[in-house]
Amino acid sequence: MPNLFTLVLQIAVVLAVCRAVGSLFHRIHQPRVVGEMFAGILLGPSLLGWVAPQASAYLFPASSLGFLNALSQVGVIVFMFLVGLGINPKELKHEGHAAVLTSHVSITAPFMLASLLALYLYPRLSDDSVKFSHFALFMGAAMSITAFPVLARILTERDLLQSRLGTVAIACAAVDDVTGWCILAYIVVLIRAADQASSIWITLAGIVAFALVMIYGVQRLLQGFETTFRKRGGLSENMMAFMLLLVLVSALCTEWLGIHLLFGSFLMGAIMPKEARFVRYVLDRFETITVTLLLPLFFAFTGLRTNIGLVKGPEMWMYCGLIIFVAVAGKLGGSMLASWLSGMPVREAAGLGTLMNTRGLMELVILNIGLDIKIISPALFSMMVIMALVTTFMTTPVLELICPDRLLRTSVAPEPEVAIEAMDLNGSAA
Amino acid sequence: MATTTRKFAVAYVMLVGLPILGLLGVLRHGRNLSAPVGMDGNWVMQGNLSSLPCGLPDVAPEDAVLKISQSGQKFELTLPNGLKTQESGTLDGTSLNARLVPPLQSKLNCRQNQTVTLVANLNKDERPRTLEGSLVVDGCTSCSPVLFTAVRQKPVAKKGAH
Repeated sequence: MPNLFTLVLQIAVVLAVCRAVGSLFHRIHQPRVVGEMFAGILLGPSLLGWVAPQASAYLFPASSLGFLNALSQVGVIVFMFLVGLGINPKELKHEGHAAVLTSHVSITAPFMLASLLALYLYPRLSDDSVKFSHFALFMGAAMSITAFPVLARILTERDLLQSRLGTVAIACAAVDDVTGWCILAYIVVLIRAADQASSIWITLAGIVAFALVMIYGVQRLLQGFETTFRKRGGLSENMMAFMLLLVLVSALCTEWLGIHLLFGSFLMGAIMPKEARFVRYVLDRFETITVTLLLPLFFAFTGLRTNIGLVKGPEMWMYCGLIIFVAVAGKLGGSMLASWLSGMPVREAAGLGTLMNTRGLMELVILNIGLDIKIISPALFSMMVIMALVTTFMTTPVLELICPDRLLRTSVAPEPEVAIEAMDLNGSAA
Repeated sequence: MATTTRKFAVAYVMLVGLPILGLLGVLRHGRNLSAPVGMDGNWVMQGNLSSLPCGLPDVAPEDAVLKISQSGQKFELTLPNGLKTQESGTLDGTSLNARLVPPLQSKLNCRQNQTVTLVANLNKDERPRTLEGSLVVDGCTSCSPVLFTAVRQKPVAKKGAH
């Protein structure tokens, strides 16, 4: 049984610190989520455990972390559903060659560079219980992810959703995230299959069958939600509960199939109807409690696992610097190059690269999976968390520097995307 | 139109196709790389644990677990009685070396600023892997080294974040 006093105290402290630091970051024109990510680090061994170890041990005793983790994972399950909900697979079709090339290069470039970096880091930060191929693929997937919701938030705040830059960025980020999660699912299957007696092909066949049932079967049933919404102007509590139940069942299916709970919730969100008012309505119902209560717990839990003290000495900081450099060069540089070659003006291309370089919470979710399945070591996890913070933090100032608003708003996209307009996760964790 | 499509195809091959080929090459090349010996996880200590430096308060033999958190050639280690690394320990081949300190507010029978040096060798070919080593109380000439053996526990099945 959890010690309820400790658990409630933890939640209260996490909420207070996350809101306070989030507000501080908001004042310096950063998305609140960056502040909340930072708050999580402050509560962990990197700061609180370092300056006040007794307070840290009292507030976050090791025996209590399982409950905190469980609560935070529920939040991430719902969050991944919301992320999937905001992604519209039809977006890329509107954007033509430029978006296709940019989105694919923004995956392959960081992936390739990350795998090269893996050649250097594997003998230094990994061990022989991890296969090189798994390590390299994971590094590639982690470096090629884009924080779709943070990106949507930044574009909304700067009124750029309907600009050419905004629509291409959103389309590319959607493709990146779907691709990144597919690659990650494959890696998780590979690693778990090594521990199981059944063949990896059975697992893969099960996953493909599940995806097909979801896309060609369940998706049609989900239209019923939108039809009811259109007729009645809302959904009953029973229908909302049923939707949540479907999310949980889908999450359980992917967990049972051998990947991870989060893939199921993401897929359920991705196949939901995409009509803008419907998406906004569902987001409104789910996001408040998720974003204000449960996600801060995830940031805190991530922070408790992040020990910047492990990144000690010039050698370790050099590895960390290399990771940040490769992440930025691959994502920002790759996206910029591809969009510039596709005919986008150089400043706008640089702006697109900067936006694509935002990693945010999505990166933390992936890194936590990597640490759970022991494909990355605690020190590498901490370095990658630093990279996620740096690349997310740098987005707004760099974008303003190289791509001022007045230049961007002049290029208006031909057709605004409806689902994304609805995707504005409350200005908070996303 | 045809020219645009051709340019797109060329750019696609150069920027997407080549990196994928490069990735395959890296994965192939990386198979020959070797990483430090894996020792992350829990190790059950065997032997007379009551003689551990600073004592062993209220620990049942089945709970006498030595915990290692490994990051490449560096590791953090915690003994069953709470002694743990302050600076990361180092792994050189199969040799471990670490300096341990008592935890804050511990009930251990330690002198102030007491440090203990752990030296051990990892038998990587055994299944499960084992550690054999000794613990020496630094600066204590009358203390004899405490020898220990630890057997690595089977890692918990690699599951997701729960």
